[in-house]
Amino acid sequence: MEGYVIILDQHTLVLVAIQLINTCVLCFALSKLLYKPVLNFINARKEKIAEQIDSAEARLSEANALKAEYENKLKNIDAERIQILDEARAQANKNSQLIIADAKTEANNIHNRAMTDIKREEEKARDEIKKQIIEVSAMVSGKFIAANMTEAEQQQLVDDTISDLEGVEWLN
Amino acid sequence: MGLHLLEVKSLVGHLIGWNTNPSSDLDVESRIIEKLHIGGIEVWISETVVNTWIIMAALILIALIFRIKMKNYKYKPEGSQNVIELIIESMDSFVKSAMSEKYAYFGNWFFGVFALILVSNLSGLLGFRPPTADLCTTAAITLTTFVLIHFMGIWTGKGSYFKGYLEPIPVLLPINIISELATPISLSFRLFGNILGGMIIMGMVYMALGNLPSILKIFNIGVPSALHLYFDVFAGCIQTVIFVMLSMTFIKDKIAD
Repeated sequence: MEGYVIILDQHTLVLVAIQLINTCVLCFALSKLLYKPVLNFINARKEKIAEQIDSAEARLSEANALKAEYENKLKNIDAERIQILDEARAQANKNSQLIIADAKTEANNIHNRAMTDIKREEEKARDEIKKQIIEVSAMVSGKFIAANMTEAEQQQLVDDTISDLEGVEWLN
Repeated sequence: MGLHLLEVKSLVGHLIGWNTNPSSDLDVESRIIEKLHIGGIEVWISETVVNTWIIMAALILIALIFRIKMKNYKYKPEGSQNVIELIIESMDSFVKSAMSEKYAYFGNWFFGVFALILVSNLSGLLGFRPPTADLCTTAAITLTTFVLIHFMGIWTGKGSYFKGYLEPIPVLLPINIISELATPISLSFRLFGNILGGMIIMGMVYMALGNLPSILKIFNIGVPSALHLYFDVFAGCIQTVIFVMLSMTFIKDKIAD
């Protein structure tokens, strides 16, 4: 069979043209079928990974900030506790003082009212007793007088009394 | 006009003082399998072309398989996904390192070129005649590089591209043009020569091993493997990287920015 190792004639040009077409077809096919899709796939993943790393970094810094904040809070929590306790104690103290003062005032009021009542009752009782003494003595003296007094003496007494009344002002 | 099998054989034989005879089976020619006549032009369908089609079919089939598998690709890669991602990412970073981030789209082109040259060079291991051991293939690939070099030069540089031929002094214009033309020639002949050379040496080694006296037949074990490792695998991979790297560097050099 015929063959060649190197030829430089019109057949070379045809063969070069055929190989040129072959090369172009192969490159086009490989690019379309494999290179471009796989590269796009890889690049899409690269972007996604970069995005995830970015978001992870953002979240990490966020978490670190929160951690620092909470650590700070934990550190301050003792002081805060003492402060709250002090405040509560002071408030309780104030409240108890107020309650005691109120109670004292109330007790005083009750006491005063009771004393007033007692005095009034005493006076009332005294008046009652006076009235009864008067009544009894009037009754006794009436009986006595009825037994011992003449009409002239009675008249005399009335007159004296009237004249007395004329002499002094009515006091009571 | 052309350098033919017998000439190569006698040349090599003369160099190593080895009396070649025409019936020996040192076979480095690209056989012409079919001669077609299309519109008055004689089109040779040679072994090179057929082997290229086989390689293309294999590569496209593999690409299709990966493409179908890609539907199941996951955010966390596993299995074959790792392999294909490694390959594509390596190519991408290779292009980016040679041409900068901005021209990463050249990866689409050079991925195909890289795959074609690499698989062609390695196809010798399977008994194929490597398509890259034919100047027509390397010239075709280099032609695309040549077009890309000057297209990118004109597109990005505009006037300064043409001015570049007159630098440092206008007298050097012919030298500059020659140096531009030398680029594709050196690129294509480097790849072609390396692969053809490896192929010729391997053919000769097989011939020599076949003619060994029975006492020395032990050399048939291991010696071809080691030489294949060097000429096909090592030289094949290195030449692929060199070809693609140089192509990218030449294009980058002409880009004005």
